[in-house]
Amino acid sequence: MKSKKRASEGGISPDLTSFSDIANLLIIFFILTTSLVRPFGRRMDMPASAKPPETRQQDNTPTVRVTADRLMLSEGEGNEREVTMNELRADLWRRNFPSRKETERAVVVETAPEVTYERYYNVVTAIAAAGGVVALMTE
Amino acid sequence: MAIRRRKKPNLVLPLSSMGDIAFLLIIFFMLASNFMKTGNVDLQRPGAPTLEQQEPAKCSVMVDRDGVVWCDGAQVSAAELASIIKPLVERDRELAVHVSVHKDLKRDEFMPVVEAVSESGAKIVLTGEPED
Repeated sequence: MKSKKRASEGGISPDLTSFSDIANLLIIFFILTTSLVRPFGRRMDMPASAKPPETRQQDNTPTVRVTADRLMLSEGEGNEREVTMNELRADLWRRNFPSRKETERAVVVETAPEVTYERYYNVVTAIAAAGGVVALMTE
Repeated sequence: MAIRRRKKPNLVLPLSSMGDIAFLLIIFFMLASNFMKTGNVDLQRPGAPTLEQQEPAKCSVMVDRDGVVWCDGAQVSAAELASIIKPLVERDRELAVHVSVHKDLKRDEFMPVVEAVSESGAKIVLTGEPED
């Protein structure tokens, strides 16, 4: 009787070493392939360029002409002036775009072929940060 | 005099709890992870002062330093980009496409990509590095 009881108590213990090895390998795989970092950026209001920018018809639509070394801001014909990036930002903030109708928030960006993406990026993110809508100008 | 040899203690490590923890970690990573489909793309993002932290990308478009366009890790051309993204936008109207472009590329290399994403009707997030 005694010996029978002993036999039933001798529990089965499965070998879990390989089991935890697989689990650890899976963890390493997920750690290496996953990206939990949230990227930095700016959400843009950029209507499809296929549509002609109707706001271009208005004379007072602000237009930023970007070249490799200059930034020109204009509102209507013959009203162009050179600005620095900080002056452009200040000017855009003064316009208080969020309080305007969507059709009045457009800012046309004309980009010269030699302009780098970094320069273009600074201009369009400044417009978006001020609440403007970037209207792409294509030739 | 007979010396009794001491019995060696039978050491058994309880591995079941370790396996449990490991599987909980796996479940966490499976739910929280967003696979890096673009780890092989060589580009340097532009810096700007007015950037905000964004949600992880559901769809990402990248233009590397050679002007090669990548959409979710697959090499594509700028011309076919709109047709790739449009069906995704039809399924999810709020889809935000993360656009990352190498900072030194010229207009003719990056503008077709920006225009294509814009034409697809998706929301655009232009990614960059925050500056002070």
